[in-house]
This record gives sequence, C-alpha cells and structure tokens, in this order.
Amino acid sequence: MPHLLLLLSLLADSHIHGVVRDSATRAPLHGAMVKVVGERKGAVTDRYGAFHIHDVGADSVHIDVTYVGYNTGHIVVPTSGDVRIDVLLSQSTARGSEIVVTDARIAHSALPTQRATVLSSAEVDEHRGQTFADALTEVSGVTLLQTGPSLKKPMINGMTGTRLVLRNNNVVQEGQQWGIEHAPEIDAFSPYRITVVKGPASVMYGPNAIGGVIDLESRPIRQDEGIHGEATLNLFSNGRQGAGGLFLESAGIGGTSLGLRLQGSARKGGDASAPDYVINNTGVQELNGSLMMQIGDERFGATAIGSLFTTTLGIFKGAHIGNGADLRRAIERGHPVNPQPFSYNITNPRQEISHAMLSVKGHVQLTDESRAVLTFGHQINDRNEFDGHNTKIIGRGEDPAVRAADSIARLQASLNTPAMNLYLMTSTLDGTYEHALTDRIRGSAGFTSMWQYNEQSGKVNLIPDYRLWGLGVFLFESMSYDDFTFSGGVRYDVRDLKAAVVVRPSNDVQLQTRRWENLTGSLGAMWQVSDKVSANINMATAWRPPQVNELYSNDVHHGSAYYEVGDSTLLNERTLGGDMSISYNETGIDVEVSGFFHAIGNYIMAVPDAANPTVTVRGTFPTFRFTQMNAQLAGGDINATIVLGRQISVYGSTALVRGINVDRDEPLLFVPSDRARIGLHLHAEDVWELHDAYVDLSLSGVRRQDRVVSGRDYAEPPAGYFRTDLSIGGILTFSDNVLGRLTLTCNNLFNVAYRDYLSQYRYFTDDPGRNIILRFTTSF
Amino acid sequence: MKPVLAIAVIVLILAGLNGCKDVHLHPEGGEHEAITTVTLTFVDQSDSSQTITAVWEDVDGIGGANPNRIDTIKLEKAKVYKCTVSLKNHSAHPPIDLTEDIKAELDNHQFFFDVTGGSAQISITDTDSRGLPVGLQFSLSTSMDSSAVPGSLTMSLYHFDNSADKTGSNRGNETDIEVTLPLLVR
Repeated sequence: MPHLLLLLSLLADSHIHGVVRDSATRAPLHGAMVKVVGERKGAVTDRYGAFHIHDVGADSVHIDVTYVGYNTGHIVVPTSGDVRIDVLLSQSTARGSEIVVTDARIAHSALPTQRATVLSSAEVDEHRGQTFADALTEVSGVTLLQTGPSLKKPMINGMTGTRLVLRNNNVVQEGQQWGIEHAPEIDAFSPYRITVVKGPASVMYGPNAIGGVIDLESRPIRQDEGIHGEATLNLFSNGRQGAGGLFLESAGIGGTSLGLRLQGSARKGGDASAPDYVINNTGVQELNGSLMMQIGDERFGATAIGSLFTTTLGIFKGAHIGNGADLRRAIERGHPVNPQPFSYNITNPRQEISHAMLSVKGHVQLTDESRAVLTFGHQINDRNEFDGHNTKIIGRGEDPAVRAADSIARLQASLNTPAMNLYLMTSTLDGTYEHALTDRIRGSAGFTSMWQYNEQSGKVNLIPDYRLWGLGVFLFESMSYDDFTFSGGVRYDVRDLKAAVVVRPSNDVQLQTRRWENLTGSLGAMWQVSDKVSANINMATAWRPPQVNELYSNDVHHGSAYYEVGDSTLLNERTLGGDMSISYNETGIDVEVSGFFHAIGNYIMAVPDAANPTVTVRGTFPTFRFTQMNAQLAGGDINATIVLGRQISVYGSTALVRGINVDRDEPLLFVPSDRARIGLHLHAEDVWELHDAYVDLSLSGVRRQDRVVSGRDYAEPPAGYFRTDLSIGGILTFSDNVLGRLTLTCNNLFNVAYRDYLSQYRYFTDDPGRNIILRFTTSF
Repeated sequence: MKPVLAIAVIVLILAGLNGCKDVHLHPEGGEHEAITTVTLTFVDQSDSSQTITAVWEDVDGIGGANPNRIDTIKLEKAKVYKCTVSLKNHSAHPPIDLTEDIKAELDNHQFFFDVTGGSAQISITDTDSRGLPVGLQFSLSTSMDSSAVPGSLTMSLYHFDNSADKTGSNRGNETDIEVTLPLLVR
C-alpha cells in the first residue's frame, strides 16, 4: 500500500490539509488519494473528504488528487506553515482523460440530476459485516429487513425485494426474491464501491427499479507491473465468526493489455447470541470465488467476471413453527424454548444456495464524444430449502428390525431432500450508446433484454415453473445550462410470462401466460444556487409487473406460519412520484435535506383475510392474499456533518418514512419506524504506530413503530431502542512500513436487548447482542 | 478476430443455448407429505357392537380447498367409550397408514385432547416406553347431564425432536396435527 505511506520527517514543519469534493454536487469524496508528486508522501481522504499531509519540506509542492470515476486534479501548493486547500474534482466524461479501463462513472447509476450516495472502498471496508448489506446502513433511508443475522434484505425508503434493483458487476442480480427469508446472494468481500440511488431509476434499469438501485462494483484491476493483491480478515465475536478474503492480480500480462484477478473468500460462523441466550441454528458457511479478466484500453476493451457464491445457513428453529397456535404460544412465552449452548452445527431447517454469475462487458470509443457498451450476463441460482418438520415416513418390510432401520433411513433421506428446490436461470444482454449531441447536451440510448427460466421441485408450492422474457429500450439526455442541469428520460418495456401453475384443489397443472407493456418517464433538474448551495428535484413515473409469487404463490410460509395465496389477475403497479433535496456544503459543514413522495397505484401487498383462515390438518393458519390497493409512501431524511476542529467532527442523520393504504386510510405493514443517529468522530494524525487513526462513537435511536393497525399483526410492534456503536481504526505501520488498515468495532456496545420491527424473528427472540468486530486489510 | 466481435459471438451462442428451453409442465406438482384423513373410532364399553366413527378429511392436502369433510361426533350421555385414532394419507396410491409412524416413535409423540362444552372427559390410556401418555388410544366418558350442549373436540399431535423434551404435560413448540370436530352428546 505505498500510496498510503506517511513518512515522518523531522526537518520540515509545513502541513497541508483540506477537503476533496465533487465539483458539481460539492459532496465530499471519501477515499480519494492525495499524493505529493515526487515524494513518498500522501494521504487518503476520510468520510468527510478531509485529508492531512504533514511535514512537507519544499517551498512549493505538486499535488495529485485521484479518485475513481473523476478526472485527476493537479495542484501546486505553496508551503509555509499550515496550508488549507479545497480540491474540486469533476466527474470524468465519455472522453475522460483517465487511462484506466474503469468506466466506473457515478453517472451510470442514476440520472445526473438524481442524488446517489456512494460508499467508497474505504467505507465498504470499514463497515463490512456478515452480509454485504450491513455496510448499507451507513446510508440514511436504508434499513434492513432481516431474518436472523445471515439473511438481510436492504430496504430503501420503505421499499424492498423486487421493488429494488441490485446490480452486481454491471448485471442486474436475479436471485430468488420471493420472501422476506430470501436474501440477495452476494459475497460480502466482492463489492469495492457501492452506489445507492434512492428513488425510481426505472428509465435506466427497468420495471423493478421502482424504489431505487443498489449498484455494486468490483475494483478495476491495478495497472501496475507484477503481481499485486489484498488480503482481508474479519473476525466477529458474536457467532464466533471468521471470514477471510484474498485476491491476486496482475496487469500487462505477456506484454499485452491483459489483466487478471483471482479472488476468493470463505466464512464460517456459529449460532448468534442475544444478550440473554443463544439463538440456535443461526450459523452460516460460505465459500465464494471469482475470476476477473480485463483486456484492451479506454478506447476498445472488455471486462469479464465469473463468480460463484455458495452458502449454507441455518434458520432459527424456534421461528420454524407448525401453525398459528404455536406462533401465539411463542409470542406469549417471549423467549425461545430451551436454548441450547453455542454450536457451529447447522441443522434443519436450513438453506443451501449457490449463485453463479458471468458478466462480460465490452466497450468501444466511437468518437471523442460517443461510446458504445455491450454487457452480457448469465446467472444460475440454485436454492434448496430443507424443512425442519418431521416427515411422517414408514419403513417398509415385514421384519420389525428391518422396518425400523428402513424407517430411519427414509427419515434421513427425507431430511436431506429439500422441501423446496428452485433453480433460476437468467440471461441478460444490455447495450448503451453514450453520446453528446452538443457541448451542453449528453445522454445515453440503449436497450436491456432478459430471459429467465425457473424450475421448481419439492413439496412446497410457492413458485411455479415459469419462463419470463423482457425487453426494454430507453433514451435519456441531460443538458447543462449555466448553473442548471436538466435531465429527462423515457423508456418502453415489455415482459412476457408463461407459468405452469398447480390449480387447487384438483392439483392439476395449467399453463398461464401474461404480458405487460408500459412506458416509463422521468424529468429532473439540478440548480447550483451558489458555490455552497445546490438543489435537486426529480419527478418520475415507474411501473412494476406483479411477480411470480404474487401471482401464483399457494402455500404456507413455515417461518412465519401464514398461508400465502397469490392472485393470477393482479395488474401492474404504477407509481408517480418525486423527490427533492437541498444541500449546503462549505469547508467544515455539509448538510443535506431531502424529501420524497410516491403515489403507487395498484400497490401489491399480502393482506390478511381474517374471514377465511386456512384450515389444515396441521391446524388453522391465518390466510394472507396478495391484493392491490392505492398506496402512498412519503418521507425524508436529513444528514449533517460539522467539522469542529482539525481533529473533531460531529455528524447526525435522521430518516422518516410514512406508508399509507389510501383505499382504507390505514398504515402499510413493514414500514421502517423513525430513526436517528448522532456521532462523534475524532481524527488523530498519529497514535504510536497507527496513522490516520480515528475513534468514532455513534448513538442510534429507533422509535417504536406506532403507525400500525392494532390487532392486524400477530404481535404489537416491539418497543423502541437505543444502540451505541464504537469504532477505532487506522493504518497500522511498523518502522515506517505500512502493514495494513485495522479497525476494531463494537456494535451494540452496552449489550442492549432489543427487537427491531423489521426483524422477522422479533416474535421469537431478541436481536443479536454485542458484537466485537476486528477487520484487517493488507495490500501487497 | 476483434475482441468485441468475439464477445458478440459468445453472447449469441450462450443466448441461443438458453432460448431453446421452454417451460414444461411439472407432472408431480407440489405435493405435501401430509395426512389427509383423521378417523376417530368410539366403541361403547358396555356394548361393543355400538361403534361410532367420525372423520376429518382434507383430500387435497394442506392448502387449496379447506377440509371437504368434518363429521360431528354424536355420542350418548352417561357412557364410557374406548377410542382409537387413525391417520391416513389418501392422496398417495396406495393410501399410506401414518398411524404406524407414530407407533414406531411413541417416545417422540403425544396427543392432546381439548373438549369444549363440558359434555365429555378424556383420559389417555396408552403409554410410551417411559410410561408417558401417547394418545393413540383414549377413553371418553360422557356427562350424565341430559341437556345437550353442542361442543367440540380438538385433537393435537406434538412431535418432540428430542424425546427428553416430552414430559407428558407440556406441548411441543411444533404442531403436527390440530383438528377440531363438533361434538354432540345426547
């Protein structure tokens, strides 16, 4: 990690410090590299964009500031005593001067007028948790819908699952997203940078981007000679979990432009612990790998990534219940029955999932102003869910001993046969043509296409066999005029579904086809009011076809003991909404206030049908039917960071979301409750052998969700809670050699017992307690 | 060949490979390994020729249509009945007798009977290897009272993964069976 070297010289006494920002939005850039040309001296900006370089010798120094996706900044700084500089970097455009084959432009994730929150590689590294989604909680307005510690689904402004698009290595991730207990299949070590777009981005990403986009990018291969790499180790006290990642890369292989990277990671964790007991059977085992290949240059080249994600994870047995009466008893009991000691064993019920993905992206620079990109993706998702229910099986044979042995053998075989197996295969082909019509107008035209095939087997009727194809074409342009930027886009989509549906009660199989066609549009504007204040406003319409589970699901969800019934006549959802934000940025003060409103017609939700419970031999289950209604989601968030001094800053954020079923004038289910966070960040230049050391202490407060229809849910929402997190870290050196980046985090410092409203296990157990996390990353 | 052209060719081949597959009908559908038919047999202790059976049946298994048959148990007042439970899966061919499974794992199972209306009392008569009640057999005594109060009989079966968790009085946290039949004592 030579670029992080901070060599101490006792002869000089000049210091340079400052902040690196985006020239258009004035947002601070975290992880930008600030280097003194010709010297082994430099710094990396922290989360506020701030950097400090000490003891600069010469009268004046040349400084290079680099950040992926931005043009490199060159500055000459006169050095005398303390020098404070502000660096503005502009986003690189299609004719960007960078030689790296990254085309990782932020503009790709959203319209230029839409605000995207970027988690830099340093932030992703600092906040990496058990799943990739843990780092996302750093973004206000993003919450996690979770089923235990290993199943976490990101939620943006109250929307989750198939209302969000998750892009992984330029391809839209197509996993099984049919229920709360189906989390995205992503290796937590693979994303290098995460971009979150809050609000509809359907013009670019198609129907499912109705709520927003999460874009995960891999790091471009370093263009240096020789073999380089990075090793990361994460240790978690809760669940006694260990995880490690390693990659090796080399560029310019054989004198060509070929670059290769081999990456792998592994994870093993046992039962998580709540403050007062062990949450049994919540262990996880993961083994992941990927191979990346990069060839060509900025003008003409290609990147291919093949990756494999495999996981086995346990489902908390206490949440795997027989019927509604069991659920009632579990809630009344208030804690798991008979918790067992900690174990690494994963028993039934459990999930075994693998996700293989191939992403091939080629680009060609046609002229100075235009560029064509073609991306092919192929994904295979294999999900096996093993039931924990005893299966009633009789041994065969006349002799009692033979019969007993046969009965055990059959039981074993049954436990090892998934109750549900889903095999989902998706191919996508996307193309974009980026162009500049004039100096002021640039944009992108393109198409996306997808072909999907699902095969199911097993005893459970949640998802039928189906095939789905979709095609979309889009165009968007943005125009800059004076202090204004305007953008507009339009898109047309068609989706065609053919499903083999089991019709109850006859259990006959019937082919059903559906087709949807729709237009999507968006308009936006950004106004740079002054060099400190900017404002954004966006309006968009978006749509989402009903998903296969919403149409055809017809079975019980064991984890939550309710019977879910689809409706094959559902229409597509249609949203009309907007968001606006105002931000104030000056050195030391960053404040952003934003708000959103979405009116969603035909909003699809599973609604309890109290009059028609499902009566089965296992007892009576509440019936939920997928129903459509007119809904509204509105809310906003505030983010502020104030630098109080060179070594101390404070930050705070709050996020509010309101969801209403307009037809019945009642709150929507599973809307995140109000939350706020305040924090103190101390930054010290050097502490012993730790450089750029920091201490970060934050307090999060989550209110009880009191906007619910009383009696609709099985249990009233849990009480609000406060959680304290502490993190210390820095760059560890040993006699001037950088060893790596070290952070030590303690989540839930005071081991507070709480239940989050968005936790699916809240009926049965407290959320996990204190978790001490040690993270170490070293580059070579 | 130029790299972009090579990619385009690979893409087309892969897309072509996929395009050939189409959705097929899944003949086995999704079938639960379930009990479709619960039969309760009541034999009058004083006159064994007097046998009453009551059936609870959901032929399409869990989900789909609600149960197609739920008999009312009609008993005479002031009598004692010897009763047995039979569990069958009639959706399998040939039908499977699941009572045998319970018999093979008596230590891991227990039935509970809950009567509403106050017209009958139930006591389990069979036991497992440790002398704990099972409930495949039970005796039912009807009340002396002549006023017929309509009530119900709920039969629940709990499975204990670990036979040590079975104490004879506690219910497990996972219900295998829970059926309710109307009960009328005249």
